[in-house]
This record gives sequence, structure tokens and C-alpha cells, in this order.
Amino acid sequence: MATGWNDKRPLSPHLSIWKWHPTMLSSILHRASGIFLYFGLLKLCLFLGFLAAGPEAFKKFEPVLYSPLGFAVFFVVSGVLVFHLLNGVRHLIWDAGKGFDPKVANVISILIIIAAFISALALSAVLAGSMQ
Amino acid sequence: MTDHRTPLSKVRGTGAAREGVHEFITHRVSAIILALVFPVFLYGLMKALPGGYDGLALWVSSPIGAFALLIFITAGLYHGRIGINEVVLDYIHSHGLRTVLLLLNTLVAFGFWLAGVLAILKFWLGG
Repeated sequence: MATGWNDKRPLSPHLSIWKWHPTMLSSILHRASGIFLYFGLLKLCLFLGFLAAGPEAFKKFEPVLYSPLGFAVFFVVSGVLVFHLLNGVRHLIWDAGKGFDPKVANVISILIIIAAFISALALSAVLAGSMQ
Repeated sequence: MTDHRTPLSKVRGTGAAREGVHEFITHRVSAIILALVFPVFLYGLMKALPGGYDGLALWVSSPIGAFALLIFITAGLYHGRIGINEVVLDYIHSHGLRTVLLLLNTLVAFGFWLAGVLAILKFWLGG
């Protein structure tokens, strides 16, 4: 057990031969976005530290924050955050034992991904509008 | 009631220890807290970002801004620590590496949380 997997017998069907479907995609994205957001949260704490260090320390950081790169980061992080939030709410509904119909679950998976993308666009547009 | 477990199986610490459900529940409770505080956090951030240092400092020193940020990073890092622990437990099979990563995860989450909290309190209390 401690030395890793060395059983030569075949495993159950794995990613490489599994047919992709929307709930599988949203399940993988949920875990990936969770890991991504964890590191985002560490960055937020670091950012707060920079802010608390005073205006001089923040000035070094400001050009990056308000660059096209900073804006792109906002777009990606907001989209990932909204995806994880919506899919997380769906997980809570699943925990209550509801929403397991495969067809409905597949449609909702697609809708959540689209909603996250649209939210990222909308939030970025609002931010760009208030930057003027 | 007769206890059929051998003394060895009792001391090994494997199998159900009747405490796995703790992380399951706290993971979901912190998720609900995050979902509730998210709109307040997002609204404050969107309003503060265009204002540069002054706008952001005003946000973090305001009671609602500081409170929302404190809840967001506390519930967020608590939720994230459990999530990353779950990923490590799923994919890392070597006992030594797994122990190191679980410990590291807790230290990182706690360390960054403390740094974030101190930064917020500096604004909130220092004015």
C-alpha cells in the first residue's frame, strides 16, 4: 500500500477510453477550478499584504494590476469563480438527493459553463466601463 | 454487545474512525457561507478596483468591506484546505509524500490566512 500501485490486473475504464459527456467535464472542471481558486485566494491574501504595506509598496504593483494582463486575470478568475459557485450550488442540490436525472444534469452542466463565461464577460465589461 | 474487532485493527487507525463526516459537513457549511458572502465581496471589489490604492484602502477599512473580506478569506481558505486535502488523498498514494503535502497544505492555508487577516485588521483598526 505504501509503495504505490503495482497490481498488474486491468483497472476499470479510465479517462483515455471513457466517452466524454457534460457531467464528466463539469466534474473535472469543478476540481480543477477549486485548485485554481485556492491559489487565487493565496494571491488575494498576498495582495492585501501589499495594500497594507502602504502606497509606496503598492505603487510597484499597480502597473501590473491595471495592465491588460491584470484585466485578463480578472476575466479568467471571475469566470472560474462563478463556475465553481454555480456548480457548487448544484453539488449541494445533489447532496439533498435531487437533480440526478442524466439528461437534465447534462443540460445543466452545459448551462453552468455558458453562464460562467457570460458572467466573466459581463463583469469585465462593467469593470472596463467604470475604469474610464 | 460483543466486540468482534481484534486489538490490532483497533490500534491501526485504518477504516472508519467516525470522524470523516466532520470534513464533509464543514466543507459544505463553508461553501454556503462563501456563496452568501460572494455578492458582497464582488460588489465591494468592483467598486473599489477603479479607485487605485485609495479606492481599495477605503474598501478594506470600511466595516462592510473588512467584514466581507474577513469572512471570504476565512471561509475560503478553510474550504480550500479541505478541498486540496481531498485531492492529495485521492491522487498521492505514497504515505510519506502524502503526509508532507497534507501538513504543508495546512501550514500554507493558515499562514496566508493570518497574513490576510493582519492586513485587513491593520486597515480596519488603524484607519
